Amino acid sequence: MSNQTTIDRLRVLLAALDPSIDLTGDEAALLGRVATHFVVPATDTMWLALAVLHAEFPTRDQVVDGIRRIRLDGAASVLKEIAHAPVRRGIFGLHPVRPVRVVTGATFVDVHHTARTGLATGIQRVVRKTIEQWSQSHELLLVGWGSAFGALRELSTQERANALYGTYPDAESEGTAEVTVPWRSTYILPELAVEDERTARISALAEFSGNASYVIGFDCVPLTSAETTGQGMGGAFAKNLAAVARFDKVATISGAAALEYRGWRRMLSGAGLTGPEIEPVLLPADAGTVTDAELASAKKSLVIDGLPLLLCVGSHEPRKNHLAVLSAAELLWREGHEFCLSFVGGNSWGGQAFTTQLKQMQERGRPVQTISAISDALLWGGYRAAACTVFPSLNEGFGLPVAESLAVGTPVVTSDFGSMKEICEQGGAILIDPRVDASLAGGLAQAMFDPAVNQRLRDEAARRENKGWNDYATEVWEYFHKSS
Amino acid sequence: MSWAELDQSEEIDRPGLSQALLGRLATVAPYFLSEQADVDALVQRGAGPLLARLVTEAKASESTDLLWLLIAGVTASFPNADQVRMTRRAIALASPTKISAAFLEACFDSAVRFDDLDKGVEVVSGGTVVDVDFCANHRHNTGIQRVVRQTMSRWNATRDVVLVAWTANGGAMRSMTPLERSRVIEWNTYTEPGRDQPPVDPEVYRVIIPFTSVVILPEVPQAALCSALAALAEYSGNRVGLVGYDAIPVVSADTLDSNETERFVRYLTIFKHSHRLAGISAAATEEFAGFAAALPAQGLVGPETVEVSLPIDAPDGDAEAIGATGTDPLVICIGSQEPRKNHLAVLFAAELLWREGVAFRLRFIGGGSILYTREFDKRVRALKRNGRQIEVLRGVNDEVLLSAYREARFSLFPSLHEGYGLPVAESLAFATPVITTDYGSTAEIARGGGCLVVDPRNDDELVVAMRSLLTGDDILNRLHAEIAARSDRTWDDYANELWDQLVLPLRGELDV
Repeated sequence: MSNQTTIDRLRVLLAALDPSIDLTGDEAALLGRVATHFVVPATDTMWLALAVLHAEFPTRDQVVDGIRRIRLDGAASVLKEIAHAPVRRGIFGLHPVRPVRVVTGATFVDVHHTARTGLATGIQRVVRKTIEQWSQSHELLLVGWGSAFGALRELSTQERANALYGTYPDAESEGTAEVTVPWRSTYILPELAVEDERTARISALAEFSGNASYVIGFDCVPLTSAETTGQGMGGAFAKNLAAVARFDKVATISGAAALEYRGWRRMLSGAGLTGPEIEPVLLPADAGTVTDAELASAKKSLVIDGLPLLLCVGSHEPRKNHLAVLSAAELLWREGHEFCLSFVGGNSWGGQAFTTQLKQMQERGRPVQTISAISDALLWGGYRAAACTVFPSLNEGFGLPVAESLAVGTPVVTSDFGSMKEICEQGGAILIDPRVDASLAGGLAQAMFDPAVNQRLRDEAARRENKGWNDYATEVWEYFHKSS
Repeated sequence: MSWAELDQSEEIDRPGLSQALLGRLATVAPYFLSEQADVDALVQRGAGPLLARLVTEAKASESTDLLWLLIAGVTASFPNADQVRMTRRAIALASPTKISAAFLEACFDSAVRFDDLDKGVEVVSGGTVVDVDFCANHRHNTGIQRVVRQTMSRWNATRDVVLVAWTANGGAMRSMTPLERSRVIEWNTYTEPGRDQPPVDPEVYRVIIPFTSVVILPEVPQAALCSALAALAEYSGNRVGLVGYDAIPVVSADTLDSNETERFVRYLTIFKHSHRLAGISAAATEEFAGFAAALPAQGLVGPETVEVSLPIDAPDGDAEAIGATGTDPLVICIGSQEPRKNHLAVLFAAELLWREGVAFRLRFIGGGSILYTREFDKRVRALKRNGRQIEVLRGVNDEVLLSAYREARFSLFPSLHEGYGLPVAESLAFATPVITTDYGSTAEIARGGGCLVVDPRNDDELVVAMRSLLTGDDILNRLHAEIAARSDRTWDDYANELWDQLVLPLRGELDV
């Protein structure tokens, strides 16, 4: 890959500002032609000039300051200074200057994290399924950030594969990938960006660059339920929101998430901001398939002593309220009900109390266990094998295990508010107050042990119209691209 | 752990602990048992039987009020939400004979940690308890502390309130010493005996437990107190009222250190379980109302929010002139140098005008973190080198500030986000016109007259407004006339209105 000189970058900038213009001549001639576009400096061209000439996307302050300097000292001298200012060379300044290109009229999709992670939890599933569907019918430019979150670059082949399918968690980026600058384009952020440097630059892109900017909104839990999140998340998430405040549109994954985002948007007026358009596009209820052998193997893992299975899917963080599940189960066992309880989910922040309580109950001989090594076969087999599933979360952008259980026709006991309630609108569930253990136990008793109720819920679940990923991806794309 | 074991455990083997516990149980017992004779009989039988009876009553109760009270009474510390839930589960599942042991095992850990087991407790029932922990312990006196001290000095004189601080380890609310009270209600007249020191517990104090009371939080509590206060709001049955200052750490998180946001989201965990909030401006009230509107997603309704705007008020004290003097008019810009205050826009606008030949002096007053002041100071130095009349005063006292307000032709406050905009109000109190932001809380103050408003993100509007006040007297005279005609509220008005709008409705809910 060739090194770009200052003159090369000036040509790239000039070509983007005016595709028909003459790109010949020396630096002074090129600067003079660029300067004609900054007689009255505008924020979008200022953003573009800084991104191209610095090989790094500017922050808000840099754009505002650039305009002020041009107004005080004139475009030619300021642009010359910018063009000769040190160019970002990656972390520690070790890398060669990255070549810059400007891409016009494209759809940039920022999947930086999804392209590099081995995780396959809720957010990654949404991102992968969505961009997979989009890429079948639209031209996408999948992008990520450099090591220091200075600028966007196109993903390597391996990163692209990992972004789409999760197949290369250790994907290598390709050395000094080109800095890729969107211009008169669309920038879509389908994942959660929480890195400070990244959100600061995304914010300026959304506010100033003139590109259309859209984002998928998952929830506002770190803001609205801080007691259930670890230290550090609130600060990082609020910086994400500060960037989202400058976006054009947010597609939230549920009506409950839209309620959270709209509440947050109301908070912006004191800062003189109006915030993005916010619409919910409910995630699909996907029914994964299993073979008979997989189902048998899942039963073997999850069912204890041949007892009816109560299944609880999700990590053991406090927000998922698994202590209440243990407490309700204990109440039911004491009432003489016979069943086993299996949790499927990893340990996480704040899961200590759960682990301790579970151990005590196992020592007292209760048929209860937790399995942290999750596979698709175990999960989908488990949903099918269960008499009922339980998901009494205190706050969810979208209660995925609720939708998954209902999609295979298994009744659910879940919270009587938010996205959980929303997913159950077509029936198949008993809604309870997750803050009252007796309410949870009562709901479980009905769904698990009253055969008529269990059958009614199963019938309701079977009649549900379940939305697919294709429908979801199409709805989001159409919402983003319809003129508002 | 059984009660007998507990009594013998080494950790708490201090003289008088059993007696102290019995005393605390006897203090809370009347809220569980309607007949004082029953209480007396149980006290005669000792702590064990009394505790067993109270735990049984708490278990039988539909609500969590009694359970919260019992935990607070037994442990002399306020539980967090996890402790309340854990204790509630433990006694729900325990057999009648083991109910005391289950209760103690679930909640006693907090008591040992907080080390207040030798303390007596006082239950404030049907009262109005006001948490003024920070003002009681600190001599800092800017924004929030001024509101608290101005309000509490008035409430203390005219209303029935119980002012409380927290134990130094953050375990529980406690009674205050005379000096601490003076710091809160006699700010302008008391004498501080020594240097400012980190908070320590007084030699003698009582743990104060509000029950079926109104609890008012006029400060933003320190992070360490938030989980106990959130649990108090959620579980204790007390009606909790807040004074809401702003949501800047969330809304303008991009202009602040992440730690400030971290602290603030913990504060919001109290807010979401509280019952009423009085915002210091319509803008601040709307920020909290917006947050409350997000809460049904988690099955909560959130508090009622109501606007009780701060008064226009001049800081007390004499003026003392410090700073460069000159014949050219003085323009001042008050406030800490941080990105949110938009001071780089002021520097830009001033330089444009200086280049036009408009003569004036520009003075900034206010501190700032080195993180932000470096770049600002660099630019100020560059302007000075070019002969501009600009100065930055840091760490100056109120007298210098007052003198600047008096001397200035007008002041500048084009902040990007404020809960109130105190410098706007102060400037108006000194009859000095202000150029300020055309939205949010500053626009609310400006509506009363005496201000020019601008879009702080539009440098041209700032330039035009400054030029109009520097190059002619017409508009300035009009603004002076407007200031003279303003009818502004006083601290007396604010203190009364806050009582009527925040405390009285909550007291009304208690009677239901």
